[in-house]
Amino acid sequence: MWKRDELNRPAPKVPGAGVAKPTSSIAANAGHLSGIESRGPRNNVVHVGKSVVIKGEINGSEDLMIEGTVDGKISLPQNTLTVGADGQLNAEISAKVVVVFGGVKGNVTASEKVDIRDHGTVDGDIKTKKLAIADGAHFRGSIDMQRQSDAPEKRKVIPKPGKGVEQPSIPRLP
Amino acid sequence: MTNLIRGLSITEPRRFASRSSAVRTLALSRFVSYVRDQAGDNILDFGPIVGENVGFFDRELGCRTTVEDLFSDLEAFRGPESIESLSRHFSERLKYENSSIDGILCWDLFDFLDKSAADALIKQLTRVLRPGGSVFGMFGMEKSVDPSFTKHVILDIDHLDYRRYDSSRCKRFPWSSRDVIRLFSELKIDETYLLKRRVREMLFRKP
Repeated sequence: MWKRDELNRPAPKVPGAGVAKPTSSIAANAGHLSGIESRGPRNNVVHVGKSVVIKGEINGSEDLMIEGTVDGKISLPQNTLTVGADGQLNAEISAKVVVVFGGVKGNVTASEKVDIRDHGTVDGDIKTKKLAIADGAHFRGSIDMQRQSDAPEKRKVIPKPGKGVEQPSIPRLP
Repeated sequence: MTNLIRGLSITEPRRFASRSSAVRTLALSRFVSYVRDQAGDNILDFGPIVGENVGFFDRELGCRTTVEDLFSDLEAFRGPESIESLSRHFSERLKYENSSIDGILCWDLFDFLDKSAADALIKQLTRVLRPGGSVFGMFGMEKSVDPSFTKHVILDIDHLDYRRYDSSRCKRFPWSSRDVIRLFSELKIDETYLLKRRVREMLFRKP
């Protein structure tokens, strides 16, 4: 019985324990920066805090959560980029999945999905296979939906203008 | 199994039709058909971003949708002094090459514009529209006192869902049919549908 309690007890804090081995360039340089932390291997999310301003290029192979400001380029080809509610990105973004709660200015390319949540703002062009946009989201730019290799051929719809007409259509205005 | 699937595909539109907020659209299928006939690959949407609409045009036409939310521009230009500046803004707003767009969705935007702003915008949309390209617009027949904009969500090719959201502008007095013809004098009016909900859906094409 008491052994189970012991198992549930939090482990004593050891400096450096629980920090994922950095694989991204940002994580590699994050050690001396406050506001950037790499969570444990289970979550494997690098968190960029509100007060952090990054200018330059971010490449990595971990999920990234940005609450601060980034000006430059972000490339996470196999991972998820989350722009937090306070995050402001002025960047070209390339990732597997991009989730936007904050603001993004720049083109977004996602190999899998772009998800713009309520109050999320994107000002730029989007290229993706799947797109989800919440009701309160704001977007300005073009959307290029990438065809999935197994997607069916373009569906042919034959318009039936006369069918189910509420009122007879007026062919021309007077 | 095949019958079951076939049955599902048939009953799907009825589900939308039975929704209280679902309304019929007659011009949308024509618009899609025109853009398809042009082998169009570029649509301009003047409304706020709606994920369902982007998905719809991707499925139906496999084309790129560009969202230029002009309703948010209207919110930015408020007050009586904004009339001239809004016209000036619209005359420089669409940074596209001449004859580069296959279809334009205006929704009910013109119900909120005065004549000078409408003129400026139509001049620009006529410029960017490809010959044979089409414009889809809605014109109310009643003035509204409710300051709100509407998101037009495409449920299927025959049905829309109206989602209202707050704004500072009401619809102006309705455009008469004669005024609409004059406004779009450089385009050909291709179809007009008068709907029960006191809205004219109109399709214009560039000769």
